[in-house]
Amino acid sequence: MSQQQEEQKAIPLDKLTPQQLLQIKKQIEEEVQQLSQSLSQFRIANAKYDESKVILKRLDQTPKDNDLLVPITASLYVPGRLISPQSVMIDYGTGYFVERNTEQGQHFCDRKLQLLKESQDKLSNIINQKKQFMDKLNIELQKRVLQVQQIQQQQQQQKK
Amino acid sequence: MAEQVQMLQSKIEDESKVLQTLQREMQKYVEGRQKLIEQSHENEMVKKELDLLEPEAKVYKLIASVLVSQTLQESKENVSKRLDFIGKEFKKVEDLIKENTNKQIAKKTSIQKMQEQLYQIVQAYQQSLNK
Repeated sequence: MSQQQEEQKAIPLDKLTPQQLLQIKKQIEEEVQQLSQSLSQFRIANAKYDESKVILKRLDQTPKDNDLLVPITASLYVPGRLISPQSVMIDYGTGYFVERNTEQGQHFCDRKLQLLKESQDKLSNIINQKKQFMDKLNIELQKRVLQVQQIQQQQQQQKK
Repeated sequence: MAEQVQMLQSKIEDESKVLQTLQREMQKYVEGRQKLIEQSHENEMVKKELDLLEPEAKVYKLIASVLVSQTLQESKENVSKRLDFIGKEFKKVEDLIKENTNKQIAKKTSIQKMQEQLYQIVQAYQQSLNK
């Protein structure tokens, strides 16, 4: 990525051969695709934390000893009773779990959402930059095609 | 002359094979480096979150499929140790990548030299035929 950007600065587009232009275009297309994939993964993570936050809020408002059904398998549920509506276990990552109350849990989700938002914004910016460069490349490529067509036309006219 | 050509050709082939192995190794190193970067990010995130906790917070560590209670202090030390380890591993891989790059450059130049030699021999032979 950084290498390419250096190339962009070092070599003006009109000095490159069409083959080189196509190669760069292909490379950038792949990069954009990869980055877009990451972005959609970010969106999934975002949705998960959003959902967790909503559920934590609801759990906080649920009275103690509330009856509930606990999923044992995907289709088997066992009746249960809510003993501690205020306490949840949060997966902090790398194998660490921490007991938190629902309010702290919501703060945790907020922090993660904030972090995700920042990363998402950064990533979107990068993708947009790449797309802009792609536009430039496409314009340059079109120019080349026109040039070749003009030369061919001239040659045909000369033959006549 | 034929012997010389054959010798050079087989040498070039051997060296190309070495170069290919080097390239394969490089790929492994780069993948390893990527993994280490991811791990270090993840641990960094956990460390930040652990730093926000109050000292009496109940922390559990997942060992196999069992959650084992651990003090916050212990967990923090553990994560720091892991980050240290990842940092060291990262340096190791970086060094390996540098070494590998240098080796690849050396191999490429030596192959190029031999190819030039081969080319010169063939040209000299053709000139002698033309005479």
